[in-house]
Amino acid sequence: MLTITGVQRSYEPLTGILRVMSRGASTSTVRVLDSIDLEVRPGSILGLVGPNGAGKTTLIRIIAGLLTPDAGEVRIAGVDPVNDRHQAARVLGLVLTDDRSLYWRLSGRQNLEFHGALYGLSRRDAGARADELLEMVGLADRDRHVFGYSTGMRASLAIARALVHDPEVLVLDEPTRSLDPVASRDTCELLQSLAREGRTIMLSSHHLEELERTADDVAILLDGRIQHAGTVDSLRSEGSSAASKLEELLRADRIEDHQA
Amino acid sequence: MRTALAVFRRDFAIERTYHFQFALSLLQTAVFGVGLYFISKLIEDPEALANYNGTYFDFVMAGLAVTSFASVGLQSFGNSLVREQATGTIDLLLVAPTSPSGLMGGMFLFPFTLGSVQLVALLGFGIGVVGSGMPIGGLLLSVPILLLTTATFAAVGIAAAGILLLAKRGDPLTGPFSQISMIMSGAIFPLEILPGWAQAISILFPATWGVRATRELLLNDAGWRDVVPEAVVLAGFTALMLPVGIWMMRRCIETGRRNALLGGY
Repeated sequence: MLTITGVQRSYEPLTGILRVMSRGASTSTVRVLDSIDLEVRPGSILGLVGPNGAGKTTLIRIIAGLLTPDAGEVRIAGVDPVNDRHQAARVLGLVLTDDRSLYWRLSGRQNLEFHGALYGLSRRDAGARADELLEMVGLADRDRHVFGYSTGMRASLAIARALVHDPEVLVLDEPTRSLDPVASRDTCELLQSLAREGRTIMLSSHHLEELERTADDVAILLDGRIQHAGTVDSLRSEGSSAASKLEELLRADRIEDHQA
Repeated sequence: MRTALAVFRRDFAIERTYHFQFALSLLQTAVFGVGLYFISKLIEDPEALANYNGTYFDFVMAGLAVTSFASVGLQSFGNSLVREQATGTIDLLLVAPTSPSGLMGGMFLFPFTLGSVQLVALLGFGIGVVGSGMPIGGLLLSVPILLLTTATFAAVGIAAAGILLLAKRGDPLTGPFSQISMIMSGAIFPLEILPGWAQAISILFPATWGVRATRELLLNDAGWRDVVPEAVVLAGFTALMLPVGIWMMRRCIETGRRNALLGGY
């Protein structure tokens, strides 16, 4: 179970010595998340969808404990990542945007073994777990340096890495962002099979249609607020205004991405 | 310890893929040793070295053994963190249920091993090619002194890495600490030629004690008992500085969590 209650987060301009040392996320106060309430049931997938800058990544970084919320709380399988970071890490599998979370000069197996060790597995257990996961994501016979992997293979390996410590909850930030339609469909099928095992899964995406196919529930995040949360079926009937506004914004995002 | 060893194995596996860089680093060490030898030929039997046996080459080798080892302690943490930030892997390291000290220890192990290989190569060049008379027993006895000196530098390096975690570039500690230590410890010239006030404050720098003890062991045939005072002072520096360095790293991580400064580069 993943619950998010009343989470708020603003980006403030840096002050004092921090301002001298670094550039902050913002030069003026920006409210990124405003009273976010969400619940993801065990064995289900919640799709979090929103345009660029809606606050999806900020919310995921708060769940991961990489950012502290200004108010509200997160519980990952009952654990608060602010007060018990290590226990929260043990029950959470995390896939961050793109594939930069992997060591490209290591093989897929070495990446998994390293992360297994970070999560307390012995060398032997980490090796066995790596073999099991590589088999599961279809990379068992392609154990070479990650820089030789295709984008789809790296996305699969990132999911395998998130599963190395067998977490109850899996949170993924746009796992299909750079994938072609076939690789994207394979990734979604893998996530559905993981949910059937009883895992709690939350994934963010730009693609509403993809989430409609993959997720059990969908939450629409617009301007830092949840505009709609419910089952995929309820999205078109009840939340028609949020869904159509979202589709308009996503279309604008895609045109912008394409032009860039 | 498991985390530290895992980080060491990872670094070793990654560095093995850059084997050309390793070969170049050994070549640089050899070229540096040759350069040092010819500089030492210019400075034969100086009065200022009257208190030390051996040539200027031996004198400066003993000093550089300490400072080059200490530099590994100073720079390895910051270098590793900057690399993790640039490759985007820092977030997952910070999320993992490991202590910053375990990660820091791991980030230090591989550069430390590499630094040891380079130092052995330099000393091997000195003894085997130049004919330096440094005793092998003295070299072994100086290992604990080198480790203690490196630990004090590591404390500053860990604190500096914490600052780099927030600032991404521009570390105000390692450069000044390294340069001032090089001068104040007398690594490349005898302390006796410094002004009186500089000699007086030189005792505030751990490297001064490390260099002094190492020279006693390598140049003046001293035994372990002769360098106990220096070892005790270095252990005191370590006990004082290492917890402060780790505390500062933790503070910087927490500040990063609050101000959205973790990750990125």
